[in-house]
Amino acid sequence: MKKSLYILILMMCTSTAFAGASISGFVTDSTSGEGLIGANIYLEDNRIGISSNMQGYYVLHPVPAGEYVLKVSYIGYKTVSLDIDISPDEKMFLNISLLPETLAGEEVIVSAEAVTRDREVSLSQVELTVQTIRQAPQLAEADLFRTLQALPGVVAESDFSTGLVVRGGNTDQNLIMLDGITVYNPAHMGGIFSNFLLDATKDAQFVKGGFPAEFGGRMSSVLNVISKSGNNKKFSGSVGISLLSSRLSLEIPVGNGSLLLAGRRTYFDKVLALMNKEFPYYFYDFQGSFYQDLSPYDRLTISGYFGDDVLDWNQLSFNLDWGNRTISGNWQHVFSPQLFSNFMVAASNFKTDIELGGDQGVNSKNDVNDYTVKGDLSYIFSSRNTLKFGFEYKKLRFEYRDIYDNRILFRLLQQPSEVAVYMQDDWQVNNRWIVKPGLRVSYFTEDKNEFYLEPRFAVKYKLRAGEYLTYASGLYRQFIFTVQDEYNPNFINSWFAVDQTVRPGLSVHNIIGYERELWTTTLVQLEFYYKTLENMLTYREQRSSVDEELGTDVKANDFFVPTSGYAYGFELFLHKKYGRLAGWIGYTLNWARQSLDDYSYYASFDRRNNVDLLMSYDIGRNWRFSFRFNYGTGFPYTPIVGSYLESDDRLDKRRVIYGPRNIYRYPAYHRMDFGFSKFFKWLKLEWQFDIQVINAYNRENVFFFDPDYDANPIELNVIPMLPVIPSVGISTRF
Amino acid sequence: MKKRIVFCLFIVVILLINGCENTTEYNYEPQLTVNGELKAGFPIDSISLTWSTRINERYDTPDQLASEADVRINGLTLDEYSDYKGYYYYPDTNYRAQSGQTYRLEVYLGDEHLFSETTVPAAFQMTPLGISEGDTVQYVPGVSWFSDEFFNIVWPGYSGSLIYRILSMAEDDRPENFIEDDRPEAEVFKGEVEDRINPGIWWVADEYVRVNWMFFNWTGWHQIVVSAMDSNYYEYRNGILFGEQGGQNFNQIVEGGLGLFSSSASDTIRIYLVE
Repeated sequence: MKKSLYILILMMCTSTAFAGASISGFVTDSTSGEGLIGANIYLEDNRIGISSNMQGYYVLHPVPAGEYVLKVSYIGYKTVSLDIDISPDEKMFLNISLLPETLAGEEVIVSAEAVTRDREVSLSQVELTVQTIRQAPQLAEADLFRTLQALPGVVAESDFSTGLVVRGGNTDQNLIMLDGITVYNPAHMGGIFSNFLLDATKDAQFVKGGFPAEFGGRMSSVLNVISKSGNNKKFSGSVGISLLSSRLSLEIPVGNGSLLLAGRRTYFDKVLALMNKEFPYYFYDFQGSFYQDLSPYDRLTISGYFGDDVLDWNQLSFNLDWGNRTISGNWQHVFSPQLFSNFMVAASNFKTDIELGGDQGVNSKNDVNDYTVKGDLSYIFSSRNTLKFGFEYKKLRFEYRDIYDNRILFRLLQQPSEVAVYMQDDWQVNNRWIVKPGLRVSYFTEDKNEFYLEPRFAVKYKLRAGEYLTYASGLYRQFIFTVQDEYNPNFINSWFAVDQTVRPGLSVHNIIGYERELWTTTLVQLEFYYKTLENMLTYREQRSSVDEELGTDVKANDFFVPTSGYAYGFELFLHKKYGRLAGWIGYTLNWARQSLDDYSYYASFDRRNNVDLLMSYDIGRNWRFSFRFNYGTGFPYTPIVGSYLESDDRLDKRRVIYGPRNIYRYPAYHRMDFGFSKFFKWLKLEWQFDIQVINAYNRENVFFFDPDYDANPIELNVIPMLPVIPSVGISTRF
Repeated sequence: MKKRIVFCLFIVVILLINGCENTTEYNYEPQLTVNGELKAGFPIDSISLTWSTRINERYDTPDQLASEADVRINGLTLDEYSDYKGYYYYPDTNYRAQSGQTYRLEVYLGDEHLFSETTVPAAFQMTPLGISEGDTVQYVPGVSWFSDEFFNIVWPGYSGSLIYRILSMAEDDRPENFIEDDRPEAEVFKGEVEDRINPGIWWVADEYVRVNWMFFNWTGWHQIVVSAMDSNYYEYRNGILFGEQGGQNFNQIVEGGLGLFSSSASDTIRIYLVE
């Protein structure tokens, strides 16, 4: 077995085993050197064509000897045509730079997109460019997660959360990665801003379900945020200032590569201080990457992120420190034109440290550490068949400590390892059928020491030009989780690993989709999905989630009980990607139910109907109008139905009584945001001025009901979400 | 093509119709509630019976006092105070709760039947450190729950309880004795000025308590009562989420109803507080 595997890899490395000429290389932006994802490379008058991968790499294979016109097209860039003459068995390495073109003809765009659509199974998948994200009206500054929340199938927990509730799943069921590194809590305190800096982001790929075997460890969705490499042609950068934060990014060519540095800091603390109000809170992010091309076939990249939320309220002896850190080393290597690889060593940390009362007070610490080694390889048999395979090893460490008066009240230390290998094939069987079978095998050390098989399968059938049917299915395991609290809003997500007392999460996805091009630049997608969810964890009702001396020998089932559930629904996505008017309408009809101890109830984020309209319109004279409207039926909640007298010696108070879980619903949520942007030149620089209004008609959306015990009868006061908030900002690029 | 569109529209309409739901109605039926604490060495004189209330209804109304119930402790029938409806006592004041004894409460009222059981904790004695009974203590405003203590109270080696309740009761809580402190830190940790109540109540699971500014809102004589509480009380308090003064309690300790029926053994110290 080992021998045959070795021979297989050897054959892949020495492409003579699969004889034939090939053309390979990287497609890049000519002004920045940035790799272009999904560029179309094809031989005119020949049926050979392919899309560039995440790093901009492509290979056409096998190519019969002869003379051809090689065409390379990409949205927003001038199409390149090259005359080439290739001899038998020649391995032509050809890097191609494309020149950005502001006024790309819609026909070019459409044909380029159509080529990609013909070749890829992209069910439940959305690719968001930074430009799309920037065009949506946002509070103070553009945010990736807020834009994702406008997609069908995705809802936000609240205005104060960037958490993604994808097709009825919990927010911990999404695998969120920055360049392949897991980011555990990608939001700042209060959830209004996510961590990722758009100035340092190139692209974001989001898969809402049925994701392929290369991804694992989560039950619902995958978000892979891809950083910019950095400009290797010239020094460039951008600066932005808004009422709440400022940001700066620099891209500096260094040697055969580039250095990218980006940062952001908020100044709530300074603004409030000017108003004689004290709230000493701020956060900052820093994202950087440095890469060098060691040869045409080798690139080394070191990248990192760190961000902190800091609350130093010394007057109250209250300090909070919360942040993410990631660092990774990445080696990208082309073994042969057909064998492309990416190896990564990475570390990710998420920590919270809450101190109240100094040495004699309370100190609550949570540390999550993730050390990952992984390799992803692609073997391109031909432009119709690509085999992806790889491995991933994670050493995880979760630690919780509650200290009071210098004494440990509670400590939980888990140090599991997670190992996975996968293989998947993208095979264009003929002009109508594409199949994508895959298998992932996982192993987790903290539970019952079993191997878990996770088969995945996707298929696409071309009904006719621009019209497709797709289906995807798969089995998904999850070994680490945060806990859903159905009685209280979560402000900090704490991660735990399964142990021998609770089983890993398990989900099965089934998705059927229909996709059709409408008019020239618009795509309509219909998807029906059904997924089961087993072993999600929620707090035991009978135990307080905090405030007890539990000691150090704590097991998951001391705190949590497993729930199971299912979600099904239907999504409509009408997406106009390009043109003067761009944007989408998304509609989701969803049911999500859970059951606990034979009691079945609607999941906390079961939103039956959700409509999102997101658009931007080029008014002319360098003005752009952007608009977003969201309407969603109310989330379920557990109502307070009564109260009783509690008499504790000489102290009487009312204590409330809850009804059955999630039987009531909050009022419908709706909100309208809009903004205007003006583009202009000044001091030889390109500027953008934004004015935006969030919740324009000041809808009082309910966050939760807070009982007022002083009132008789007890009043349930509305704690609202965001009120109307105007903001302005200005930014420039150089 | 037309057929396909019609079929898709048909499916969508069916789904939309399915997506409409009627509002759920839930009618909560009030439950019988019992509150009472058996104190080691004291007569049984304050068992209260009330009805819980629907959330949209007024509470503390006379009709919510559960009168004329059959209330028994270890088979002994309790009487109802004639001028305090819903409050019950055992008329023999020589009959006192004793440490180590188990008491079973049973209540019958119409179709309602509830019961609970408590074992009174062992006799409890505390030791104040740095002060003595009747001493004068200087009030120093603090900045958090954990500010420096005025004095400590300890009870090393006592193992009769898992949770201790500390009551700080001002004997004369007239407005002129009120300690005005509207600093932001006081409002964060003690609450709004108008919400500060007498007595103040705290809980610890340790063998000591640090008594600091948080325990006092009035000057003058105070009783500091430390009580070792029974397992009922411990279970009940553990069902309440941290910081939720009025929130849900998931650990009900009265079978067939609601409330807090418990027992305690206490010790008290008096101090005089000056600003």
